[in-house]
Amino acid sequence: MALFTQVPLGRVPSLLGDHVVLDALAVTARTTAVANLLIILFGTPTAYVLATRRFRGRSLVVTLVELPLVLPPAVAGIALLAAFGVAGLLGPGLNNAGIILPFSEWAVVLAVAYVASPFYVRQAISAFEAVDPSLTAAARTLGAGPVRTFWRISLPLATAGLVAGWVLAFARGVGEFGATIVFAGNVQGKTQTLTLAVYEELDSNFDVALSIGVLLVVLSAGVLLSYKMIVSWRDSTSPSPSPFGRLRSTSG
Amino acid sequence: MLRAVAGLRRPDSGRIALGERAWFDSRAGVNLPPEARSVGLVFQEYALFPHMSVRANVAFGGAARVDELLERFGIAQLAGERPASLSGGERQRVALARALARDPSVLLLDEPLSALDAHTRGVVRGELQQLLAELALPTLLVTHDFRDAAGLADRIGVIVSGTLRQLGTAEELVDHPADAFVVALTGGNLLQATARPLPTGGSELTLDDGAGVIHSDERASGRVQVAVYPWEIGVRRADDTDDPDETGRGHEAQNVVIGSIGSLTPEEGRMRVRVGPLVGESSREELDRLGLARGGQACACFTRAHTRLIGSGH
Repeated sequence: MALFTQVPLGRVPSLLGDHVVLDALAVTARTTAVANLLIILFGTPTAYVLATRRFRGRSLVVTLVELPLVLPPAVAGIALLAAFGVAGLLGPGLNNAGIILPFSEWAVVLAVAYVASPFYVRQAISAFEAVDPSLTAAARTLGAGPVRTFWRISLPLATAGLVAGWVLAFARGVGEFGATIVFAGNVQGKTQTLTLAVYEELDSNFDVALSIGVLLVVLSAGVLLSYKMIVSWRDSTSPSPSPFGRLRSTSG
Repeated sequence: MLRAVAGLRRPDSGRIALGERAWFDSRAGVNLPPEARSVGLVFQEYALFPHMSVRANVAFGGAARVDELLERFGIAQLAGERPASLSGGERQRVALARALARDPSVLLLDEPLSALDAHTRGVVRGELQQLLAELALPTLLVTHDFRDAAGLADRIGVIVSGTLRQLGTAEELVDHPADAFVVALTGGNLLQATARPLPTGGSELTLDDGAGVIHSDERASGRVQVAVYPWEIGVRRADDTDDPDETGRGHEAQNVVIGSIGSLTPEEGRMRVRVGPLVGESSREELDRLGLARGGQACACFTRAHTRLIGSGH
């Protein structure tokens, strides 16, 4: 609330036109998009395997996947630096291949993906676990292989849960600060995201910082609202787990 | 067991084959995935895909015969519905149509009637009976209900905690029950008794709890269990044991147990009457004619031939 009373609301649009803000917005949009793509691309199969298979070391893998959730973001940043830094574990190899990750836009992507992924994967695991195993078994006896069973049965039935998890991961990614500033630095137009810009503008231009704050509050509220809508939507359709089916049958 | 045949569960050892083709063979290391076995499995709760229409559910197994199957099962008008809006009987028909869409070589039915209420159960059992006769497809059916098994199957295997107790037709199971479990499953009375072989053949049985002494055509000695089926037990007035045709021989052929009438339960047009330790059968008219009512004395009569002895070794 104080955010909205402190900032001259009429000036927010012009303040947001500041090139620092525009640069940060562009970096945030690009890195968030790529990071979320990576999270969904790698997180979905990981969650599916963890939800449907029982194997030795499974709980260890789950713990590793969930670790970023409890790790202080700054520690996560140092860990990423230790792994991908020039002097890090994988650094020399990457360096020889001409890839220098730290303090690049890719470093932001990695930091965001690392910190936000557990929010998606955890939710995705429970979404896949909630799919009745007799449905996938039925698909198999009807001649569908594991791949077709995944696309036609597991994925559609888990979609609502996956979207709910992704919304949380998205929100966490946009708010990412600690790991990013340690691993990617705070370079305007390159690695400076909106949250990092708030931190930078705090000293030089307090009104700009406040405006970004307003922007992020509006964004976060929107994300929270859509999350709540997805959850209630999913609960109301729980007897027939597909939200799409319910929508179509009521409209048609 | 059905899951093992369908390839959803891996048995520890053994062999599952259809004709010459092995689906599973622990020794040869053969284990085909479910999609490579030609089975149509109907799940206990039907496992219809909730996010697909009836038509899409049936088409999932194979698109070629969808219309024909929808027509045949009388669900063509439901083609656009979701499973959630169907009744139990309709769901079962969709599940059957879906299982058959793949043109399977074996039909597997897991408790096909257990998800239905008692009212629709009888109707659906009749439908299923007719369908199985028409299909002429090898069918494995798992059920806990002997009436379902007797109504739907040619041969019945009684499995108790993983071991096969008896295999035979419904009649064979009733006529020669292998053990007490089969007697209970098929709805028979089970009495504990001590047997003494008679020099004239057969044996004399002293029932526990002082219920009386009866005879059987079968020879045995020592502790035995006695099985008699309700439909083989007539109920008469307790003072009516002196039958007109009782000439001594008839008396020997007939067992009589006298007791008080514990309960009267209507069962498929007949009345089940509990007399002492036994449950017998009669009609309502007959009971009224004899003036038999709950609490009164009555006698349960059955022939020596129907008095089956099963070893107490189990």
